[in-house]
Amino acid sequence: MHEEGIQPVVSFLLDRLPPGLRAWADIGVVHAALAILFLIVVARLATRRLELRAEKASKLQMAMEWVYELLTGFATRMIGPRGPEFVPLLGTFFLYIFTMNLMGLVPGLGSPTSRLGVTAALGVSAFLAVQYAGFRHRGLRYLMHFVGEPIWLAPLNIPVHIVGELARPLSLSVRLFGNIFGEDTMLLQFMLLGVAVTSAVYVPVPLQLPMAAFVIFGGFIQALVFTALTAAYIAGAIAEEH
Amino acid sequence: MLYGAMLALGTALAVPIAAVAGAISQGRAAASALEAIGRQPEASRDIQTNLIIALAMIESLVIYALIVFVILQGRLPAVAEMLTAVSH
Repeated sequence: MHEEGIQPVVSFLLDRLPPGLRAWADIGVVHAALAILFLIVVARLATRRLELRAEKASKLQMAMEWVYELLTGFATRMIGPRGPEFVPLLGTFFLYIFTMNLMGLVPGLGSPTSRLGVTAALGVSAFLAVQYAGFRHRGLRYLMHFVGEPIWLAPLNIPVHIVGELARPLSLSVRLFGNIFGEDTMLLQFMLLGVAVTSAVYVPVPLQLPMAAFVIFGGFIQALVFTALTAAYIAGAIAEEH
Repeated sequence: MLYGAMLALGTALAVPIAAVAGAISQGRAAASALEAIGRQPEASRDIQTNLIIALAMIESLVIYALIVFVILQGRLPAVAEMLTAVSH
């Protein structure tokens, strides 16, 4: 479905590896690892010399603190007072997915999230995180979730709720994959359109630039939606009313 | 030939029909969200967050139709084959 040719730089570098290693290195995973590497480098640069006073702090540190406050406020709004416990998880999801989505705009690289394998891994991780949060905060009573309100309807409720619970990682991954793959395809089609339309003047006009702006916006929204839905699922799993 | 025609028609119509349904429901969600913001401007950020989440959930159904399109598109026969089949 997705030729390696769309991501030529990494393909070229990987082809230099011996064949045994090349067969094992999946291009989506390598791009995802590049995103992780980028985030680690930015984090290390931002926390190189942490300063407490605002005048002496570096600009990168202040920018990262602002992002951290946004994420903490977001987690608190979605989950409630227990929100800050989940800021590392939700913040990682958001920053990681956003970085991966934006990688598609870098010439030579591609979005790892335009591959179903990468988004499925993210969906499964989110699902496992929700289950872990539920079991850790409520113990075995978390399993009472699948039994609905009228207890005598339990034989009907339990399968329905289990299927609903399993549909969540599926929908999370397919939503992210479909959106980013669709954006990538749209970008490619507009590039081809730009080349075809202006081939008469021998100067290719980048007709895909408005689409590139939309890709940035769409990538941000999809990262936000993935994180928000995971936060909502966590909030539902650790709810303690009844 | 009829099979090929129906397959092509089904492939082409998957996303537009889903897009119509998606657009109508997203329009309703956005309209009620904007109305709520108008009635209570100080809740604007909360409403906006929930609106974005709701829009993404509705849009994901349209994305499922896109996935169906991509799968079906891989199974369409080539144009040359179709033309020879039609000309017989």
